[in-house]
Amino acid sequence: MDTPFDVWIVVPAYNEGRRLSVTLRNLRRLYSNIVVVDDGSRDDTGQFALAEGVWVLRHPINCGQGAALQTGIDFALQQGASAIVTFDADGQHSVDEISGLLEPLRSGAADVVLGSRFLGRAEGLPFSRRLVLKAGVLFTRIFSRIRVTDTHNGLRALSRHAAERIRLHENRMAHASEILHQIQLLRLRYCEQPVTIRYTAETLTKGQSSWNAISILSQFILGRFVR
Amino acid sequence: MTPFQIVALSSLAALVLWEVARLRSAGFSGGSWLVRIGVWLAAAAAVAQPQLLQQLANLLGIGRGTDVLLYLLVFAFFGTSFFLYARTIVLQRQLTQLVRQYALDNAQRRG
Repeated sequence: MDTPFDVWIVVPAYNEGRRLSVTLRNLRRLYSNIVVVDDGSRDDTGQFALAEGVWVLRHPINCGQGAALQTGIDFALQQGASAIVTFDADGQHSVDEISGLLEPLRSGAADVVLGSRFLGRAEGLPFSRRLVLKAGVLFTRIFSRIRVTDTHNGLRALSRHAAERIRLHENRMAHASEILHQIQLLRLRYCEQPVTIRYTAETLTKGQSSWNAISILSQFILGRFVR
Repeated sequence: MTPFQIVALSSLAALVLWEVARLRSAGFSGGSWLVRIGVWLAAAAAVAQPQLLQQLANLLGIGRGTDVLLYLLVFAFFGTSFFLYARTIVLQRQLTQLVRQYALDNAQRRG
């Protein structure tokens, strides 16, 4: 008998409020195993998530997106997940693209599938952000020796095998580079899938400022020296 | 002896005595005690005999004794900054583990 392929969706959320409900409703159309990690939000993000009937884990203090992802991944593994998808709370990803990400995991062709907006589409992406993201790609090629087209995309899928091995120590945004670094270090098989990212005025305000890239970069480099 | 030397040397002597007293009560606990006592003694030597720093400067080809002190302070500043940064990161990681365990133990779902 085939073992069931249990997909878990991990949604890290911080002060997302009502916007999270829309994202969760879209996810619920296709997936039943959803865990929201409320990363110490000061608004009622947790209540909106609970109202949608998904699992909610609450960090009593704000630890950062990397920490929230790792908490969600740990929970999904405890629940017996065969595959884990990380999905941003702000609705910039498309639920319909998740199945494409899972395909290489189902067939056993890859351990990690990374969404790429540069293979797919990035709607409303400002030029300055595009430039910073491209610089990130270049940095990752040099530093982690991994060739990907999009390094800071929140939409990705991990097999159970990969999720059990990858351990995120970077609490804040440097976790995206850290995942890639670990993929290379642990010799996990990975591939990229085109995805669409929709930027709106709202997601751009809430999201990372382009200047933050410098702080993310220094966090990532300094973090390497601390064990 | 200048008034400054009297004040500085008595403070440093008190620090050394305190370190020794601590050593007797708490026992030797690694190299940090040696480093600390070394710093107090070196400071005492530099205050008592200011020409020692000048001699060290001449030996190293730096020029002035005050420059030796400046360089040492710059090294100490960077060393301490990185040490404290590393401690903060370690503490942050420990705190995150605690927060994570709390979150996992209190997972909720309605209905």
